[in-house]
Amino acid sequence: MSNVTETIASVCATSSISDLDGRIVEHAVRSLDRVLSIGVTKQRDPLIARIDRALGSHPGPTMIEGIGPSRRYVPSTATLTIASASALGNIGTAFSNQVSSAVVASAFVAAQLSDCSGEQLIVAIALGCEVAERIRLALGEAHVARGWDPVGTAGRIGATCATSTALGINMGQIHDALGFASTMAAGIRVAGGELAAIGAGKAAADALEAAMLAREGLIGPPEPIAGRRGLMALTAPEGIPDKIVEGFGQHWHDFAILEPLELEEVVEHLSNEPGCQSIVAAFHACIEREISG
Amino acid sequence: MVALGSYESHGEYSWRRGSGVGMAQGDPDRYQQTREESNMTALEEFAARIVSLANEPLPDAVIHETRRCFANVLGTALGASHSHEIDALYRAGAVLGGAEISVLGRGEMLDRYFAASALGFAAHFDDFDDTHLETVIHPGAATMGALYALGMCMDVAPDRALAGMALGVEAQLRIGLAMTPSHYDLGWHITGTCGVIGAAVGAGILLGLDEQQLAHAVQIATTMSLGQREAFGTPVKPYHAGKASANGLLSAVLAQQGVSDASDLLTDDHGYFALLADSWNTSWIEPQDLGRHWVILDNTYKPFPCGIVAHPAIEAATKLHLEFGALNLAEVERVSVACNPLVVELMGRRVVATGLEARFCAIHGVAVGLLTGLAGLAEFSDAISVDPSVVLLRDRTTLVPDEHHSRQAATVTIHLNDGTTRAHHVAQAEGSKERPLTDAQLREKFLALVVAYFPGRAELLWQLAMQLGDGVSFIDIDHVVRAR
Repeated sequence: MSNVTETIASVCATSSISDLDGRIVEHAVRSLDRVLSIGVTKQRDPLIARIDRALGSHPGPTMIEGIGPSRRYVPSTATLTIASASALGNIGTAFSNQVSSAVVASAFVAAQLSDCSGEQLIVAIALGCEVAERIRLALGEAHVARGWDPVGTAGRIGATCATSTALGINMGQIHDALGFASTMAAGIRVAGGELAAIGAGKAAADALEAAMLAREGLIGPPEPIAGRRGLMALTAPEGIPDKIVEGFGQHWHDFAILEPLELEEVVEHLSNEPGCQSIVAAFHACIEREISG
Repeated sequence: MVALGSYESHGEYSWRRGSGVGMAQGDPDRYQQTREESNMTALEEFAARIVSLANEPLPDAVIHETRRCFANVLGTALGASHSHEIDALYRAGAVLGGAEISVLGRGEMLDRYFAASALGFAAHFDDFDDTHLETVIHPGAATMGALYALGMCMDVAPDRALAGMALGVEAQLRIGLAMTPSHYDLGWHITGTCGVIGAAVGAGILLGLDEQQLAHAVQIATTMSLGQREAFGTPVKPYHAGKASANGLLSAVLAQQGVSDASDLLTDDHGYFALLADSWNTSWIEPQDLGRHWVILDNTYKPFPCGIVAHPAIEAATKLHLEFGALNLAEVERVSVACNPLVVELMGRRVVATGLEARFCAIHGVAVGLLTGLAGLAEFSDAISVDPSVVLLRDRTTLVPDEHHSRQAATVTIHLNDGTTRAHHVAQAEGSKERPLTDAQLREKFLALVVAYFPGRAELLWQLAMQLGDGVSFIDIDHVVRAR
């Protein structure tokens, strides 16, 4: 068996926009578009207010722009609220939409903590969604039937790949980040909306934390995903770990992302938010790419 | 709102609903009937009983054991408070969270969740904390982390602090017992997966959650469990305890804010138990058993900073050193360690490059025990883990799994080149339930851990920790921790 975690980390550390065809870029942009636009519309949902109160309003040394009202958040709160708000609007939809809440939110916040370009943010989102989908498929249907929430398991890993790529950490650090993310990959499939939305939010926030811990030098185990006591063995013993990395980096899955808004409309909205420079840059990069064919 | 169970004047638990349907203790038919009448889920009953217990006086033995548990993990946390790994955790937390409180005697500010994580991480970092031997849970770290951090953010009455610690540990152990042995055998790190429940329960008691809110807190916590044994030997392992602290605390606060779900995620067919174990026994969480006997009384405290299953062998090695003096390596052909098979499963690592890896290497503990007669933090340092003499003796040492050795027993035999042997058998390891560390030994351990970073305050900190609940709360202890 190949070292699955190492392969994932390697592809994430070396991929660039030139590795993505137009279809994948479009998927990534659609995900970004949908997560942020839905997040804005759900910003005033009572659940988001509850999460906001639970996390507290103590400012920290690093404050970033969230979505919606012009309030500034510490990064962990921003991640959790964006992903949870978006997830509220994606309940009952396909996995690709649900998981994009975690992937996009964590990458979006990570991009604001680094000098991530708009193009690299698109790469991060594409990789995050791709890894999440690959792990979901490798975990198999029995994983979900048993009661696991794949957003909490596969989504957490995908979000960690997205976050790590947006932060620009190196291959070894991504490997370590996946060690932290894998051991946190849990989540019970719930019927209700609130815990499902919080589950997506936690997947995003934990992904950001995993990447930051790795950036600060904490190391993880050699094979957290496919190891004897790792993610696959514990949550899908019948799963096939090698499927995760089969053709990874060459073959990309199609995603059905719902209801994208017009790019220009989102750009205009976000341009009014002074802290959203990276996201604006991402949209401009994509628009220019589309124009240039 | 459901009615609470309560202690009757004779001290036995009676489950009452509405205007007082009584249940004789030990009457399962009546209990089942009452449960059906109440429409309560198993989780709601569990939570309601815990809330009830939180409002009752704790038995003296439970108070004493809770203080020993708290003092022990406070000591291990303070002892690890300035490690490089805690530095890294602090740097990440400072970027990601708000500046709310400082803990562990450090100047940097973290929000309550990262502070809880740092406390739990530090408490378990050296693998020197406590162990409930039947489940192999280290219950103190995750509970203490959540409670101590929350105790820095609100006014916590001393008796609530004590009740939160006692019941956080008790609830966590009972959840673990319900899934033992299947859960750990599958590969889950039970300290993280159950720690989150203990932290949620303890924090819920500090927050004054009612029985429904506490049920919701546990319910949310079940969705935030973590811990895979693949991480053993890396900093991810102590992170399990730390993150369980933070997630449990978050669960309790979210429940306080009104977050809930209709289903019983603990015992449902596709819930927590079903996902994390092949078999489980919910009798451990049934309300009539809670408070009748206390499993926290079975908690034990480690004399050596490494996996507890290796302790009998390490003790045998130190006894051999005491009996025969320092070992001359030139005379040693080999060393055999007859031990329970679990030692090989959990501590069978042969190659060691760091102190953290040494904590999962039984033959390392045996080697340093034979060479020095000691097996403290210094003997599990990075430097000693690659010391040539230690490496040489490790290479000559073999674990021999033997079903006839209990988890508490081991026999170390030194085979010398001249054909003679020296052996020592430990039937019950020091620090086990049968030979628990005394308060004096715990104090000695606490002082050794704490004095380096908190000179002049270690004895006072020990005394305050052992008075938790008796006019002493977390903030009183932290005042001394932060004193310059």
